[in-house]
Amino acid sequence: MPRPELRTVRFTLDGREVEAPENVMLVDGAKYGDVEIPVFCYEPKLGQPVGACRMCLVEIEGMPKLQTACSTAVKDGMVVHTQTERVRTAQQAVVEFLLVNHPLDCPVCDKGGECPLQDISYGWGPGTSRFIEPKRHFRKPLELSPLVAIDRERCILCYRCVRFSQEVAEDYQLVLLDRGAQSFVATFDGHPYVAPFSGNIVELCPVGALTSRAYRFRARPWDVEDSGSICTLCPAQCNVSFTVRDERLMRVLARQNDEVDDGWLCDKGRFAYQSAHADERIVEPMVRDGGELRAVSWERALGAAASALGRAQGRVGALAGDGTTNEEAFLLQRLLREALDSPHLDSRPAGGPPRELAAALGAPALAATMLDLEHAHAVLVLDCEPVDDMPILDLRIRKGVRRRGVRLAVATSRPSSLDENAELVVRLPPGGGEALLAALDAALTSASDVEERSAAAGLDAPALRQLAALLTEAGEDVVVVHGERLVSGPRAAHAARALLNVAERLRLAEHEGAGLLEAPAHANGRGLREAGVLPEAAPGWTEPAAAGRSAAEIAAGLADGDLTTLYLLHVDPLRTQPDRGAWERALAAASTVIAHASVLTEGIAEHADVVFPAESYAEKEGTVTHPDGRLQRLRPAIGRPGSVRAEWSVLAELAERVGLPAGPLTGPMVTAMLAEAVAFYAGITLDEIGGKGVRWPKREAASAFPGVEAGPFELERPPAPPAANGRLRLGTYRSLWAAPEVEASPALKFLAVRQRAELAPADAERLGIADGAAVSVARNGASLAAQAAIRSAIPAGTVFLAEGVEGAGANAVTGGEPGLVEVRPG
Amino acid sequence: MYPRFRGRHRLHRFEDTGLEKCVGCSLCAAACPADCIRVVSAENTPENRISAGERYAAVYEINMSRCIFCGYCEVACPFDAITMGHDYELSDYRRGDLIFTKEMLLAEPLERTPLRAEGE
Repeated sequence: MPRPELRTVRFTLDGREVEAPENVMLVDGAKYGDVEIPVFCYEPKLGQPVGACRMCLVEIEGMPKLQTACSTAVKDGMVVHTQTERVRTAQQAVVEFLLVNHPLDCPVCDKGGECPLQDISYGWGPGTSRFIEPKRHFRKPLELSPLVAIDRERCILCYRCVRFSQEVAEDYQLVLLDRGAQSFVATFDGHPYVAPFSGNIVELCPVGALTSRAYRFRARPWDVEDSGSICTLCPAQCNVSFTVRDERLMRVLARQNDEVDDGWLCDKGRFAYQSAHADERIVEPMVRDGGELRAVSWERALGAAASALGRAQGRVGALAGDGTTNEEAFLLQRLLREALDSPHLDSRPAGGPPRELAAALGAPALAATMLDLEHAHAVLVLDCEPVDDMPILDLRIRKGVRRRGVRLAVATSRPSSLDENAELVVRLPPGGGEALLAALDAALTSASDVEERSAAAGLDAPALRQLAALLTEAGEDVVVVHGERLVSGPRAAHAARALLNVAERLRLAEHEGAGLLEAPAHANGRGLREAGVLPEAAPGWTEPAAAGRSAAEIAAGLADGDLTTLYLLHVDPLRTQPDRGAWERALAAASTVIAHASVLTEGIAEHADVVFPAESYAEKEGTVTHPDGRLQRLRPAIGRPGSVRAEWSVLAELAERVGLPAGPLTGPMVTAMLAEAVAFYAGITLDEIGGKGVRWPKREAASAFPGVEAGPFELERPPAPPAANGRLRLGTYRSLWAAPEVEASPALKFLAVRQRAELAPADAERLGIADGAAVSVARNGASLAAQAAIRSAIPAGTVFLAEGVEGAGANAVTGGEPGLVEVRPG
Repeated sequence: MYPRFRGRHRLHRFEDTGLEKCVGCSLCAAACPADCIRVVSAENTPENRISAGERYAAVYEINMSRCIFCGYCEVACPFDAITMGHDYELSDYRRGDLIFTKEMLLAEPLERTPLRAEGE
């Protein structure tokens, strides 16, 4: 969709000529004339202004009454007065009116010191109140949810939180009940306000009515320091600002970057900072001694790791995962490829397409940005659940649909939370992404075998034709959002070809505002691949001297004894890798397992021989790459606890100990090495990345991206799914809350995931399973206990399990790929 | 000693309930030009009620070796919880002993200094 052209208008503000962009509201326009108009309810992020608080009244010539500056757009030739006696009286009256019922308990209120109501009372208030009657009273403080406390006496009824819930997050939970002075913010029947984005209302509230329970009474604004960095708990990589007091994280606030997060944070990003100070965190290096992990000195741990790696020359495998920076990834591949001569390393849990195809999917021309999502003509959400895979994406898609009329199509196997916003919903069988793409490719080329192909994929052809029509008719700017799972597994290459075909038919590479956006499995998935943590691609997607083994092949190699040593960088394979059984065998057979970890999850606790304490994301220094190609910079906000060391330096020292020449001495030196090794990062410096990041596909060096063939390809027909014979098709999903950081954060513990088997009502009835009953899901001899959850939106014949649940992940029964499972009560 | 003399600080309790007047708002710390006050607050519970408001000062420390006895903390306090007392004999052998904790500031000081009466 064409972005609105920027035109300016001239208007008179307090007797001076001011130039401002057309159609902005007066509140914003006045800023161009260096005039501040006080506001409470106005917040452009929330959409259309409502004019609820009346704080922004100004005098406009030609209009008999005062006007609200937040809902009046600037017009050419407008004459505005903000400093007249009439305006001042009105402003003072509004402040006095708001303070009629606002308690003056600023000394105990958490907002004190950073409170717009305090600031505006000082700046624009009358200074005295004529009100001597008793104020209104509510019970206080109350829990609005386990995360948010509500103090209704302090509320000034600005509607910000309600608008957020209704129009941004669209969870429709918060409402204003009752009328007049007795109005109050509440949820239906007093249910707790639990939603993925609920914490944002704390930051939106202009008074102390909604406060964070985790931050309650922890610090005052003058006690703390702010430290900007990036949240690396998921691929969204939101820009955050850590509030630090006495070397401890106190809270996380959004640091608005319209091109990344739009100023919002999910609750995981907002509250999981507590995991950095969790008691269970590993703060000393550990070595297994007599069957138990014991804290040892760095010298001994590094010595043990180096001698094990040295012995295993050529027979080392490595996995990298969540929270790994580009620099650590680069040093890991350098350690394995150059020092140990074993190029067996992978960052994709379920494997992926071969190098040329994977690089083609990551080509700069195909990359869509977060802003493109909002301005696209059509968005297709393909085989991923944005709210779980990359939460902030969900808000961006909702914004595009609601405010800019983006036409949304959802094609997923599990019912998506975006279904209600979508113009078209296509349900595919679990693992049916490739077949859908093949059929869509046929529909887009008006091939004759659409019916045949859709039938093979278990899809109905009319829906597919509708989808093709929507994507071609909506306009040229189409963004396809897909999950990593779409192009992984044994048929990854075929799926990638089909996806590239669809991209070719829709001309995604040619249009500026169109493209692909992938939600990777790991927070820095794109950065890890570009830094070369792949079996068959060196840094910058170049061809390595020798191809290595993928994650699944590493597991097989360890079990067979071809590989002896495993290096785990922020990965617990029993938790994140798709085939748990294979990894249990691999870990048991490995002679040495070296791990960087911040908590002892099951695989690490049982199998690791050397454990290096990992830094938390608030302690790290380095860069990460957003799925849209934006390099962003992590800056340390707090000191490292215990004897934790920078992980890049651990990797660099290990490389030195196993025979490489002396490596980097500082973090920025690693960044420079990375920029040198990856051709399309050439010349990027930390200064250039700065606070807002820089998109490499937009830089000149992007022309150094290796040439790739982009098709169209001749597609092989996807194999027909096996007959069900009374069994159910297993689909998996990743829950936002299934993460070690959530389990280690006291505030979020109530959200930690227990395994649920999501069933359709018809299947549940047939199998005699009641909602909430214990069930066991079995496949090929392996079984998994879960609690049944009957959801009417689940398509009959399928069952869904969550991945990454501690001790009970779906990977126990997936066997590496989704298939058919038996579900039994008990 | 004049009654207005600004000596070592004192924290106060309500005489009737015995609850601390300080709610841990940190305004004294914000006002302090020498940055010698540290306040860490916590929440009162019905079982453990320390002060009258929702919050109380779990830690309240004044570093007397830094204090310049300006009295801004007294002026800033919205609850008259901290006042400047009359003690001036504050020398000690270790710097650490000059950090006065909440308990020390709440305790009755040794009155070694007779106040000068009106007109004396």
